[in-house]
Amino acid sequence: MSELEALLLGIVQGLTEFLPISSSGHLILVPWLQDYTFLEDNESFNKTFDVALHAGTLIAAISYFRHEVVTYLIAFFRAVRKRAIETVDERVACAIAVGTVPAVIVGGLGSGFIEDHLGEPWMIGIQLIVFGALLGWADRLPESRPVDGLTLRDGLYVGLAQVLALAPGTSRSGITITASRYLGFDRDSAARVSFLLLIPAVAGATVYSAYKAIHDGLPNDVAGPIVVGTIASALSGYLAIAWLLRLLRTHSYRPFVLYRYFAGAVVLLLIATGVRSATFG
Amino acid sequence: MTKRPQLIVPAILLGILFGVIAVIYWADSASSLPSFFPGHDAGSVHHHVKHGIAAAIVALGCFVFAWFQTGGATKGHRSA
Repeated sequence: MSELEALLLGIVQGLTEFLPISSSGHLILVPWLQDYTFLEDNESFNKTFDVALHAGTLIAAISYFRHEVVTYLIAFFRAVRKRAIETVDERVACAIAVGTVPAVIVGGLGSGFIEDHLGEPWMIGIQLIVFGALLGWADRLPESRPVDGLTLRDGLYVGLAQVLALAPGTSRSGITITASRYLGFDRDSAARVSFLLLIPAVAGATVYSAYKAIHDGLPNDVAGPIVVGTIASALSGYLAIAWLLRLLRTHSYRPFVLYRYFAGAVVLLLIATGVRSATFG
Repeated sequence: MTKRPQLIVPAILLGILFGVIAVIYWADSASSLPSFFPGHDAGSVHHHVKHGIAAAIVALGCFVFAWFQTGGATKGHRSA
């Protein structure tokens, strides 16, 4: 893989992880559109590179929400020490912790099934459209709650929704924003809940994947693309968070819904016309 | 959060159970797992590490839940 290809995929990962349009779907579709099979043919490199890209987005989220991360970490351990949830920060921190659990359980039990049976281009095309429609519907509901109103029950519901994002094409940020909007959170708060939920989930997955990649043996000559991919993912991810939160002050999620319709329709059209295969098999 | 002291013992027992399940997943290969365990696969030498992590997280959740139930009555929500 060249540094330029790593740069492209890093930017794609950074932008699409935080925008509600599916990062895993795009990381599969972009090489699929270009008939680019290097990652598919080099599984060891693919896994290492995937860890690097996710580490980049994790850096972006932690950097942007550094004050919230510190505040909620302190609040969480303070609540555990007191054995009681007394403040807003403690409640939000515990809600994020609760919301992380469903994805860890289902991801842990179902990772084999997900890798073997999900993520085919035709599935991604359909999911882009279906979950885009769901986001569009939820975004029409009233905005009545700030992020400070997040309860443990909200955390559990949004966390359960996050499980659906284990299937490529759903979009982790998309489905958690959809669930948050359905629960009545305003657009800005829905995005913040989504991004804060990303941090523990992606941190855990990245640490595990990094350990496994190192344990299995790193492929040779990967330093260049890995560094470029990580930096590109981190920078584009940071910009995506900042841009989205600014956009939501004046706009709805409609542009992303329309993009999802367009991208899903293009994928299905390419498959229907035989230009690209519906599966990787 | 409403305190339910009567759930402390069941939560601890569940936590211990899931902790044991996690250790079994980490220690045994897929073929050595009890047949009713998700991931049992006769003849496979694969270790279901992720299944073990999932079980460990559930165990941790049970222990944390029990820990919170042992605390005093929760005050009303107020700003930090």
